[in-house]
Amino acid sequence: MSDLIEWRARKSVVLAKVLGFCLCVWSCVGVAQGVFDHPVQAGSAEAESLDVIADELRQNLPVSGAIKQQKHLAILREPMVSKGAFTLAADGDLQWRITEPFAVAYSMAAGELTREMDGKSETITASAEPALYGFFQLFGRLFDLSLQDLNSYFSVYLLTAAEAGEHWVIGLTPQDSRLQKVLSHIVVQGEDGMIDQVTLTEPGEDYTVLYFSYAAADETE
Amino acid sequence: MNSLSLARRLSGFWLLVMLALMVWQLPKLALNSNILALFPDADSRSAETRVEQAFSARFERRVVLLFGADDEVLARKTLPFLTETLRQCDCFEVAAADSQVGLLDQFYRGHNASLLTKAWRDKLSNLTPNQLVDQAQRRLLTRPGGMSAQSLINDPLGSLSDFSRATAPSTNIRLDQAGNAYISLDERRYYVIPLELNGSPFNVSLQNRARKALARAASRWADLPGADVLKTGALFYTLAGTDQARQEISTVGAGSLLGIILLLLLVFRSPALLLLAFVPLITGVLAGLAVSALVFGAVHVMALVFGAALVGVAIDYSLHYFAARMATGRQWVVSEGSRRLLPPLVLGLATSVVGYLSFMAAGFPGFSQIAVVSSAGLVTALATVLFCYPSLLAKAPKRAMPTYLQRLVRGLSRAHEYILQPLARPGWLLLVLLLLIGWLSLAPTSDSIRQMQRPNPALVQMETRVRESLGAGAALQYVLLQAPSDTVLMHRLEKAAERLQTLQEASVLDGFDALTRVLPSPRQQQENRALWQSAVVDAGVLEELAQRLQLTDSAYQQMLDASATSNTITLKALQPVLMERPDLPLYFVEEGLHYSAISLTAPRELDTIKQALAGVEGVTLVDPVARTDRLLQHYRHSATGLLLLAYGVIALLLARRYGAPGALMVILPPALASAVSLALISALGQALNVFNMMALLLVLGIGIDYTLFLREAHSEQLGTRLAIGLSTLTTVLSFGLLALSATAAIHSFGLTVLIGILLAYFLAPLVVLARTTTKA
Repeated sequence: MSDLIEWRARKSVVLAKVLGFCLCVWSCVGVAQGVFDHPVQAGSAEAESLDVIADELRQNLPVSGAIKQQKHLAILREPMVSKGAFTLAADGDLQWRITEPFAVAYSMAAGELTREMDGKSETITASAEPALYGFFQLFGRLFDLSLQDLNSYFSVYLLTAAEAGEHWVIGLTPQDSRLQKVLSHIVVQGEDGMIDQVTLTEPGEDYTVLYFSYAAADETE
Repeated sequence: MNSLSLARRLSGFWLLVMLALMVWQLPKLALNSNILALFPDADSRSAETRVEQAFSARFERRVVLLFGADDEVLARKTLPFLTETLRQCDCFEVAAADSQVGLLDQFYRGHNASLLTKAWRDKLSNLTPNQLVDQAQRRLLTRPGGMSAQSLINDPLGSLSDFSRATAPSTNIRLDQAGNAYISLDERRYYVIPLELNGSPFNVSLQNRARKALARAASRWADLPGADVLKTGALFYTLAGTDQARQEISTVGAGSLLGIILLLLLVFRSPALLLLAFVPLITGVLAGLAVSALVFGAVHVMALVFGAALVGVAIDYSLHYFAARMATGRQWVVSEGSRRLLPPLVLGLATSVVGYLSFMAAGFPGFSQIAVVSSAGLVTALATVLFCYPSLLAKAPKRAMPTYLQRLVRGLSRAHEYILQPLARPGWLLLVLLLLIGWLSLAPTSDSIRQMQRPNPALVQMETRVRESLGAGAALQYVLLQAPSDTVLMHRLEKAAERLQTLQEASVLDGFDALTRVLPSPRQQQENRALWQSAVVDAGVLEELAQRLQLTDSAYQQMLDASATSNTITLKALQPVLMERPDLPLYFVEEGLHYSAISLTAPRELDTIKQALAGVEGVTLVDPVARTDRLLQHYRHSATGLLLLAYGVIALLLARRYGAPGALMVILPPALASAVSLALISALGQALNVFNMMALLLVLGIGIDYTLFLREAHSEQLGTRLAIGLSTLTTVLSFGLLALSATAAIHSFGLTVLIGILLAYFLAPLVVLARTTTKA
């Protein structure tokens, strides 16, 4: 049995939810990993391209779509999958509803995170569940794509659609040592002012992929 | 060698020693303004002392700043400069808010079975295994961003992270997207910067550095639109206290100085004499501070007030000299005049010093300081007078005492004696004194520290506002638990916590913080493990969960192992974590006994809490405020006893020179003055306190000089009367102003001296009248 207990206690488990590497990115693995060869320097052409992408994303707010989350853990034979929908308002307020296989809804409004489950609603503070709170903060910031804001936590990399093929790819590596313990890097992929896919990779083999899909614009109105 | 030249040589030697001491000690002078530092704290139980020291170290040094502004983005950009400014001052540590938070989580790992919250115990007892698996699966699957492998294995149901979360203190502090702590106050965001002082908030030099750093930070922030800074912490009270003391001392100092200058110019009409009068004052005050710094390290503000008040006593030595010289006029021969003044001056000094030093017998640190400051100051002042004046005042004055002044003094003296004559019956006076003392022993008294040291209301208001918005803070009262072992201690804590919980639900208090928050008792842990075994392991919850999630075999085994620990977590094992986390409840072992403290939030009915805890062994509700009040009462009693002792010792000293009845007549006027002034203050509706008693010591010291000089005056009545009259005026000028102080303690003191000295002056001629009456 002792060989089974070889697992080594890792530091904080808490923030761990924010990571993963997208399975589907496996297909375009070359492109996704290649993004980290293209750092974005302030004032450079890449920075301008990033601003263009950010503008497109912002212009599409409010945005609604379907979510599918796949959590790949080495200790699981199959990934854990959940599905739902989200709405992001222009002011950053976010609705995040999981419908399968269980119904749980989160909403982030004016910096306050609430969870609804079994008909009961509870407020979640950053100090009580920093990882969960951090996830939603990160998500809101991704759709905002403020380079300056991102730069204060991450090193930012970019492959434009022209370089990568169909989509642009943004890479983020955390600078904060605490974040580094739970998050190795983030890859965001999108096109036409929409984010299609976000991959959060943990140090090690485990990763999480979030897929976003959008109904036609007239339907979401 | 005659006594005069001996006195001069001794004085010269003393002055040399004092000069050396001043050069050595004065540059490193430190001030203390805590009223309680005046009193010993020896009679509190050692465990209480330790708890309170830990509490005060925790609370006293804590400073919380809240910075609010209209523009959040601008505010966030300015914050780093703010912390940098504050960090630059070596007076602060910028407290790391959550650096130690992970410690407990690590400690708990592997103890899922032992550590269950009440909610989880209910769940495990009531839900079916299938429901438990469903809930666990839902938690793992629907979590945005998902769960890490480690948390899945180590805490499959999420019960441990719920327990861990419950150990965190409740707080309203939120984090913004950049991780800055803030609270919402009046619909505005205030960024929270917690700081820790690097020393006692009473340290004056630390206060000054902190004040500068805070001002720099505030001025930086003030540039933002809608800038607002809120602050809380003991530091701001001590800063206000120091400012107030400084301001009052300078008011009193300036007032008395101005009054004395005018008085001396008016009477003696000589700027040279005026300058000469201040030499002994300055040397006296400086020597008093230097000796006090040498003996005690820091000088208490109250002792400093006394030191400044030395002006009122030490000037008397000069006044007697000047008055004698002026009254003698052209016939002034310095050696003759000095010889006549020497006995009453030395006797006056001796009685004052004996009076002050008798207070040292009590061992009160504050009184000892006052005694040392005053004694050293007075001795030095007199030494200066004896050393310098004979050579500097050798020449007879150019002008004799003006006739109008002579008439005034004689007229006043006659009127004074005429009024006083009917009272000059020693037997009756003694009876009146005894009756007054008897009556005073029944007079209402006050020993409330809250009344004597009343904090600035604006600060209290701000503190309340900040406290309410930050979430509850601990009250001064706390519950102290004691037990022969850590296990028994945990069980007692659990019992006490249960009862407090009931009281909290009944709104008797807002909350409490016991060690049970972070560690269930051994019995509870055992019950938890039994529950876990039956409801989770035996019921197959983990197995079913592993199957549904398709956990690998090795991971399943790890999951089983992770919650299989059957050891009870002991307090001893937790102790290293507690050492690192001073925010957690206190636990310590002393002389084989185990102690812990439960802090209380907003306890409303202390008696109800006391009653509720009555049945639990080894538990006491400690109320430091009430205890301090009891201490003050004890000191009031002791001070009264010591004052009587001082009168007794002085009477014995004087009896050698004047005989018993003569000595009695010398001390009777100041004693009567003291008793009557207390009676007046009491009749004015003020409750008597320890500071009234301290003031009476000064009334004794100065008042007895009056009677001594009158007694020794023989044919030089005119000069003596003038000197005593002037002395009374200067004392009233220097102390009367203290009665205006906003600090109740200093006000009581000043008022007592004011009334006491006026009465002592008024009654002083009794010493002469009683003699003539007795002789007749």
